[in-house]
Amino acid sequence: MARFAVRRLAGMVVVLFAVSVLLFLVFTVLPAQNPAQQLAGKNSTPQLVASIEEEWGFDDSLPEQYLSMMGKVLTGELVSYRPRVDVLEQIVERIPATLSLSIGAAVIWLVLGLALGYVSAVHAGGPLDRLLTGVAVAGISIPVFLIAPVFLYVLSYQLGIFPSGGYVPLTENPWEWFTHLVLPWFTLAILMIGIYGRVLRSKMLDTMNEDYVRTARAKGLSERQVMTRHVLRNSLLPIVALFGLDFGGTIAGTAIITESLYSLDGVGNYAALATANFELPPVMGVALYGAFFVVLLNAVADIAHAYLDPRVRLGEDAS
Amino acid sequence: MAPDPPTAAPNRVGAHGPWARAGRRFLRNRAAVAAAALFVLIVLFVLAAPLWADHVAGTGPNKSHTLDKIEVDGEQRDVVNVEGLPLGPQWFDAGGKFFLGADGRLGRDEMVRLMYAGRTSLLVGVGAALLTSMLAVVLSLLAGYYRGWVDTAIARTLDVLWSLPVFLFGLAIGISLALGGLEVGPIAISGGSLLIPIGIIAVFSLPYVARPIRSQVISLTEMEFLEAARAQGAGPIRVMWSEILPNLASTIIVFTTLAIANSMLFEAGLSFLGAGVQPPNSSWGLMISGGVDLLKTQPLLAIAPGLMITLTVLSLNLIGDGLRSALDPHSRTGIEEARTGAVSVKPTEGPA
Repeated sequence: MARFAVRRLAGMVVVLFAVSVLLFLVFTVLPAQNPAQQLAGKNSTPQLVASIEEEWGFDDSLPEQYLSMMGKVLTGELVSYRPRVDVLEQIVERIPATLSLSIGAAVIWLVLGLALGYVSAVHAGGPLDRLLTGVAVAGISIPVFLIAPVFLYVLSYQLGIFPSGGYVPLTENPWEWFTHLVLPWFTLAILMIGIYGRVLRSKMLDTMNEDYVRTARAKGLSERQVMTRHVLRNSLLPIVALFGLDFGGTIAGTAIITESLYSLDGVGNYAALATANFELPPVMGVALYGAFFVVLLNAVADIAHAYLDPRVRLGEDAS
Repeated sequence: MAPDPPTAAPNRVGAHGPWARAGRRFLRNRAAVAAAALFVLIVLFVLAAPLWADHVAGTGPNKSHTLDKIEVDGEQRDVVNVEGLPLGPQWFDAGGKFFLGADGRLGRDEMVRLMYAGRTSLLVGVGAALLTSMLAVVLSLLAGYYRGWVDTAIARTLDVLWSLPVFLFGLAIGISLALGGLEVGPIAISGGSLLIPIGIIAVFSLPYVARPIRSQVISLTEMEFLEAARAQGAGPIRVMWSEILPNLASTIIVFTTLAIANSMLFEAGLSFLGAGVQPPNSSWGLMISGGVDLLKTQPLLAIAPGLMITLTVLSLNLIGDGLRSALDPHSRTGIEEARTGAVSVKPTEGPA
């Protein structure tokens, strides 16, 4: 078990390294414009550009630039170009909004997604199953681009039930915090409900064919007991891995469009703005912060998976 | 009359090829057939763009009408009023002009734009999905056939691609290339080219298509018929092309269909944030980003393109699901595999 965990965490470090190198290259090699020129502005003198290059280290070789940037990332001294502010501070400031969005949405999608999958699997093939499968496919297919404008227009502008965006810290006003987040939560959760419902349903249908389920029935357990104790429990394993990634992703700020549509100033929104302004340091900071969460939760989920299912850690079922 | 030879016995199932049987199974799936009809309608809708533009609306997708007036029920109305707000939907009141209203300060015809933008969205979605599938098939065949270090290199690359914050990367590269274009040796692509979003989406979607295909190739290489082909002296190209590839057909068809849906969502996300399709081209995602600013007064400007994306993605997902169950009746899964990648569990980091 310990060896499995160590191997998994070592893999995580390699992935993070690869992510940082790739991102660095994307931002240093691809842009047509020299970042020093960009910082200096249009009507700048060559001397000014040269001094900016000197100051920020743009004239160093690429490996040197990479090392100095990573040094700053690790010590938390990364500074964005314009305005010149501490990137780590900016990210930390926005974590509560992103975390509130992620946790609330995750609760909704887990509860509703698992309920949908369970009911669907228990009634497999019947009209209820077909209805719920239809709901799941619709959920998967409706992008946040449609959900958010419809929610905003109907529930906010027309009916005035919910505010139209923004974020109020929980410590400031719990009720306002809640009302500001209801729409983003559901917007983000709808897609996931469909995916989780379908994954659970298909896993449960597979599990139902296992011998141990037949044994459980033969022992005389009630249908409900067979379903919850044997089928559901064993079908939840892949959900653990899936959840680790999805939740890691939303915490990491991948809900960029949801955050931007609801003017929720979270980590994703920060990354989107920085990308649009071509600021490498914030994007690097967010991406590494994000990749860290994604990879960490992925590893945690894998380890949890291995802990729950000995076949995985013994390498029998590790595909 | 000579009796029928035993091989031609009226075994109804055996009398038809697997494709014909799959086709019949697909046609029995009402949801899939309805979805296919819907998809055809959407394609016809975008193909009809020039017809609508020339004969009904009388304007082009990028023609500005800021200072123009149109006649509605004998009354003159500003396309863009003094406060800078555009005309709302006119439906057929102005003879089909400004059917969905005007799109903002520029006063362009929203309906005409919607139709033309759909062409771009579909083109990018289909283009990226085809490119991804082609790359995925080539890489999977190489990995599965040669194994060893070739497989390790390909599999690890896919793993790294898999764990990247894909959307953020796509965003960064998209904006970078949109500003500067791309010049690699003799190839020069300008910043506004559709090849840029197509390429970005294709590369970042690769793991979702390549991983399941690769694992299928690997299980196929252990089959006896490949050994037989090699024993007959078939070289690597022949084995890959005429022995392995035909067995991958159904997987490729299903995953390409689902990849179109995912690529269109990816494109919409990139374009929404300004890193995908660039003006003067337009796409549904780009139209939404313009429309949300006017959501309060003209909700259709954001909702109409959003609805088009949804209908297209929904129809493609249902078609993909229907193809899956028609081509592989034993499988019970579909969309979630394209999302979770069939082998290990991982959702697409599509835009959320």
